[in-house]
Amino acid sequence: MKTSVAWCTWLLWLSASSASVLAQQTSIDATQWLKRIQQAAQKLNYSGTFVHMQHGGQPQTSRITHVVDGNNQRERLEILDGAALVVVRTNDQVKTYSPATRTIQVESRAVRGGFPSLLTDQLSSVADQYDARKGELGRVAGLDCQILTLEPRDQMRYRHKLWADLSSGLLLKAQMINEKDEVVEQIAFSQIDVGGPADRYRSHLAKRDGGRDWRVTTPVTSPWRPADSGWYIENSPPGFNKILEMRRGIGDVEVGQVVFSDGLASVSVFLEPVRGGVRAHEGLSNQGAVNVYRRRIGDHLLTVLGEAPPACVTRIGQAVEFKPVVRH
Amino acid sequence: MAQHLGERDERMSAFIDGELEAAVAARILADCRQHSRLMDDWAAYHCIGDVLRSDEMGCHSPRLIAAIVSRLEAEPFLVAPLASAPLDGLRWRRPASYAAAAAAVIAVGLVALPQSLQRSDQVTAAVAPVAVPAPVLPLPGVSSEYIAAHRQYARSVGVQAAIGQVSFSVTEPGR
Repeated sequence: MKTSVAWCTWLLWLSASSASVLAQQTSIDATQWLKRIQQAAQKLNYSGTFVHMQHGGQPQTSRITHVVDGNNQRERLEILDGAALVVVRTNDQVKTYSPATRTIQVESRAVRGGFPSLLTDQLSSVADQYDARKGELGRVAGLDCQILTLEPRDQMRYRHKLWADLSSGLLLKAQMINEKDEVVEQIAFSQIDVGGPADRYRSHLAKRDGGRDWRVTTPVTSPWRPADSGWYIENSPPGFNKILEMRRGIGDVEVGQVVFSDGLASVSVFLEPVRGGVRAHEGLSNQGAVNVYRRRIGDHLLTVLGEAPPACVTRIGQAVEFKPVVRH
Repeated sequence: MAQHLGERDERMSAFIDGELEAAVAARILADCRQHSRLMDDWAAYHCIGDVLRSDEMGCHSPRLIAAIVSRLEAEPFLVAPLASAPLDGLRWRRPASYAAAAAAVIAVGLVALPQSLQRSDQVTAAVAPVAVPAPVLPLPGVSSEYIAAHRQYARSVGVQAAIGQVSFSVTEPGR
């Protein structure tokens, strides 16, 4: 009897450890792919056209060129549908050229999140909140791809599916999928040239944008600590870490903004005074992958908005609390 | 000329279906080289056939895609409020009139969108249906400026960098 119990224990341990090793191997592979995707967007030269689609919105086509010149990264993103807009990035400096208003918006953005980039410093958080798995092979824009699935471990985030170029690692396609298996947002290259020397792509960056009579503008932002004004957000969903807090302008209104991210998805919390005569509509709303939760707290309006399920924006919204500041 | 091309359209359809004699087919091919409109038709007929027959083929007819995109652009923009509801039971309220409009959009969308979008995940779901457009009941105050402001600093994979109009102040005239 003792012998059979020992055998069963040993077999259980063996199967558990085998499963663990297998799972670990799978996890490592997928994580290595995420790192590869992350590095490819920063270190490779590429130029291509991608289409961004979200449910309820219009498909939007853009052309992007990314060139690495020594230690400098240069990028030009041009929106091809509707109103013309060109975003030129040189390292952290971003210039947005708008022909309609003849303005050039100049700002510094340390955080880089645009396609085909992947976040830069939260891969461990991603592994905690998502089960990353290597899927089958696929094909996007004529290139063979490794498909990766990032399955959320709770109801607070969408499932993500990524297609990465087998040879270069560049992200060629990404989908956000909701709990009903609907693709709520997709962005994918329809044509892409990857790799090779910078010279091959430099002509795409040569086009001069703007003009001598264009206005140059800069964003209005200032440091802001919500707690200094009595605002607390203490029960945000697991894995959503605060990455930014500031005061800024939206339209003609000054608002406080706090951004949370779990490494793959971001949620912004906006706080602003209720304006006289403006009726605040409270509740949930949706646009593609973006969900919005709104409620009034005293004489302030709270707006929680991000690429996350309704449950997530609602939970963050309900976690916001005002405690009057006691000054001594 | 237009009428002439119309007849050729019919012949092209027959040609693609393999119902034309070789000599007539050769004339159709020669005409294709001369008239870009016929090349568009050629692509459109194949696109329709490919999409209907296969879930792997995309559509390469710019004219057909442009027509469908134009229809989609006429559809209302989606920013709709959800009634307050328990977190585990969120459901859109869809009046019948909206459902009918949505069905029309889906019908067009199913043909227009690359099948890869509809087949979201072969591993976990056989078919990922295109999400149904929700009723359009504007939510005043939640403008695209908030989304642009969010995406300016968001670290979300698969979304574009902020490219909306966010509040900026003029700090220097001209350049």
